[in-house]
Amino acid sequence: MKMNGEKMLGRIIGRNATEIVFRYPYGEDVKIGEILVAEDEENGNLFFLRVVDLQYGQEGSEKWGYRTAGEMMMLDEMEQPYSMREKERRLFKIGICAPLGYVREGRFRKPKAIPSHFSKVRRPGESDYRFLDKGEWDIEIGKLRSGEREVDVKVGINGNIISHHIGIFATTGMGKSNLMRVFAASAMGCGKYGLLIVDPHGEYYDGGEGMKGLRHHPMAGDSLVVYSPHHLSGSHNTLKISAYEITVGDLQNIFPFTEAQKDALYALSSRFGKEWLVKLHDMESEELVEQFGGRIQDITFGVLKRRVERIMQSDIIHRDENVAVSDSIISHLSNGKVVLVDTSGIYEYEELLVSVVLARKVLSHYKNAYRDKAVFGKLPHVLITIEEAQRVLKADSIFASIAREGRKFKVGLCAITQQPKLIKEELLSQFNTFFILGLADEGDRNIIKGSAKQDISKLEKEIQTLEAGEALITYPGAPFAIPAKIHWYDDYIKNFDGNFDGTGKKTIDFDENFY
Amino acid sequence: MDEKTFGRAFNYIRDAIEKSRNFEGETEIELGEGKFLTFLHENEFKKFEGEDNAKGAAVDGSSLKILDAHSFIISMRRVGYLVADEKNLIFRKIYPAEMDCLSKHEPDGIFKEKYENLMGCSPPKIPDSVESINDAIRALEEHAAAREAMETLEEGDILMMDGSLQGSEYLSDIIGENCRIAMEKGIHIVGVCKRSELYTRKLPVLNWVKSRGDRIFGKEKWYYPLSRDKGIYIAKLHKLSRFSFRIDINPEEKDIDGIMRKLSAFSNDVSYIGYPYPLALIHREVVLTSEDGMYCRRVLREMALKSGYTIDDWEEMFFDYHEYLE
Ligand SMILES: Nc1ncnc2c1ncn2[C@@H]1O[C@H](COP(=O)(O)OP(=O)(O)OP(=O)(O)O)[C@@H](O)[C@H]1O
Ligand SMILES: [Mg+2]
Repeated sequence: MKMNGEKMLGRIIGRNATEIVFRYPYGEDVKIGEILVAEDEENGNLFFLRVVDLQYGQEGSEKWGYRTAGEMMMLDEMEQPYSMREKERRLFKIGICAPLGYVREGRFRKPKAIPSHFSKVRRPGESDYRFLDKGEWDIEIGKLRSGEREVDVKVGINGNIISHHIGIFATTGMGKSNLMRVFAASAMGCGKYGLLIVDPHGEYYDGGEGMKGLRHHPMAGDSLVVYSPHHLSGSHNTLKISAYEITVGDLQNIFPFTEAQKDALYALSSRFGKEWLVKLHDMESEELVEQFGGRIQDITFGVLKRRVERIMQSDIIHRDENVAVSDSIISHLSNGKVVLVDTSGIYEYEELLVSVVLARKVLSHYKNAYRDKAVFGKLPHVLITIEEAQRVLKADSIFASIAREGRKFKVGLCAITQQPKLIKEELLSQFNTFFILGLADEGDRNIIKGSAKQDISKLEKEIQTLEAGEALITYPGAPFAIPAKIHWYDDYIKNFDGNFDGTGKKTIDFDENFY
Repeated sequence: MDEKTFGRAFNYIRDAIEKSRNFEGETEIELGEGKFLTFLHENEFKKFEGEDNAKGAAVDGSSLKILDAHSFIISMRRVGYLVADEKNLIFRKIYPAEMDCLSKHEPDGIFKEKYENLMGCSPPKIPDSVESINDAIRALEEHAAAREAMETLEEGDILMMDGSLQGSEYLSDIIGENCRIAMEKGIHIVGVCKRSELYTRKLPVLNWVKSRGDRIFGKEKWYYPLSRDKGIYIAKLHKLSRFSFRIDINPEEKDIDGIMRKLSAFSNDVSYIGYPYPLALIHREVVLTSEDGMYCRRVLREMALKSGYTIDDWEEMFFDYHEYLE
């Protein structure tokens, strides 16, 4: 039997407003995570259901099942042939669904009602998903997924919510990096948002073995700006941070300090201003002790000097105040570019220093702009990504500040992590958009359940069984936790349908008669 | 209770076990409609092998008393048949359930009418209680369904009835007529009894036959003729079946082995090993459950209430001791 072009799967048998149960034929293969629809013939509502569990069903008593299995085993052992007639009437399966909501007059509504008894259940056709188009997203991420099947409906997020922060959670190998590449590709395509990617693994530029990187994007020439400490094959800039732009606060994001050391740092900073780091590095301890009237001990300076020495030795730190890339990075971001900062092959403290300095400067740039409505209004939303976010999302880091107050200033954080449980719940709850990929650890799933903007409590089994590239997307205003299959980056850019003409230049529709 | 009490009971049991184990010789068997003599002897057992291709129909019906008033009952019946071969069901026909009111004073009207429709004459005898009339009507309808089913069958096909072919005295003419039609068309009519009431003095005949049969043939198919004259057999239709059934066959039939082979071809469904699957399926289709009864009672009562009668009116009419006692 066909309904709306789709075969009827089964019929609803009951339960309640949070759990809807339907019967379907034993030969049919329904998967956990599949999205189905129930057509309520009484009132024309179209209910969307997500399969959360599957069970066996049989007509007749439980005893019958036990007995029949016993007979089969006995006959198998005796190598006797047998059959079972009317299987399709005696045996069936039971799908347990979480109701997602229903569509009425083209609008999606929360599941406040239940479909009528025995409503027909079927797989949705593409036209049933029309209500999703109303989401007005512009950063395309993938396609809608129903269980394991890809549905030909594109999904994405609206760039205006990037400053409300994004969390990408996945066990290793589940597709975080590919998702980030796709995200960047879409951001390049629309050119409306600033995206800062700090890439400690050096995997985004080239893509690595047999895979494409951001530089292969058809619009890379125009929309991608790359900074790297080493030589790369394509056009890029050398990554340099000036010693003069590093603050005492930046250093505290990277190294632990005792109270005495902190006091010394603040003293230095208030005495020397932005020269504090160079002075600390260049002056002898005794000289410093004298400068501060003996208030600070020479061993304190000794420890601080050793730290600072490591920094000044770094290839990416420059003594020249004018040799710094942060200002140009900020200006690219303000122009809606994707900025890729390759920090591979350098020490972790150097990588952290780069991200901390850039994050702080971006936030303060936007904060300053905020005072002037006209200027601020023209700034695009900007997103700063951090890999292994659990390392740096600590109580008083710059990233925690962005998480708490960034949205007001259009500065968002994209935290990528394999271990969300290591991030404080208070901070996690600041993240409005979640991309949940396969997560093996129960503790990680639980923490996410508590902070997601849609109820995902029933999706435990689905999250557990997500394959690489399969995701659930939650954000405020989403009709439900959206199941998605993330585009495979290489395929995505092959058929990239952003506004480009193949030469890497955006085509702008202008009216020739204008001039 | 003392040891004596148990002792007496146990002696009786022991006696029965001994007899079913060792008995040999002539014994009298009581059927609902009369007695017959049979000679129980191991030599009478017959093993049969193989399965023929088989096609046939299975007929069954179900009846249920829905309401019982002082002067009448409301009853419901559902009858149907299905046609199948040894592999699959071919088609089924289930007649709509019928609801009847049987007056306790003159309960015979419906039975008479149905009998005349089928046979073209009045019934020779009519059951006297309202309950047995209800059962007789159902049995009559089953035989009528069997007659319709035979129209779709061909020579060599088998017609399986649920229950004995001996029937009650009220219906023996109908059964005789069906057997005659079947013979004429070359259709084998059989009755398979899930429960059989065969009594002898102290001797559980079914047990005797089953345990003897299994002892002699082990894991083989066999049958035992209790009465070739009356066409009453006991058979084990699947090698590994735990059950054997009484099977009635038209006494005119010659090739009993052939019929048993056909029946056994129907009897390998894992859900009912050793029992012909078409009979099991048709039973599931027609059976009227206590829920069906509850539903009908509710509908009737609602109709009464909507017509302005009160619950008291209703309960006075159908005071139900069962519900009261529960
Ligand atoms: N959207 C996708 N479509 C198809 N395959 C995918 C997709 N996403 C990921 N994969 C597969 O999973 C592999 C790992 O993906 P990826 O490197 O993005 O994972 P990751 O979570 O970043 O892993 P790691 O923790 O090692 O950084 C890919 O090489 C690819 O085979
Ligand atoms: Mg990765």
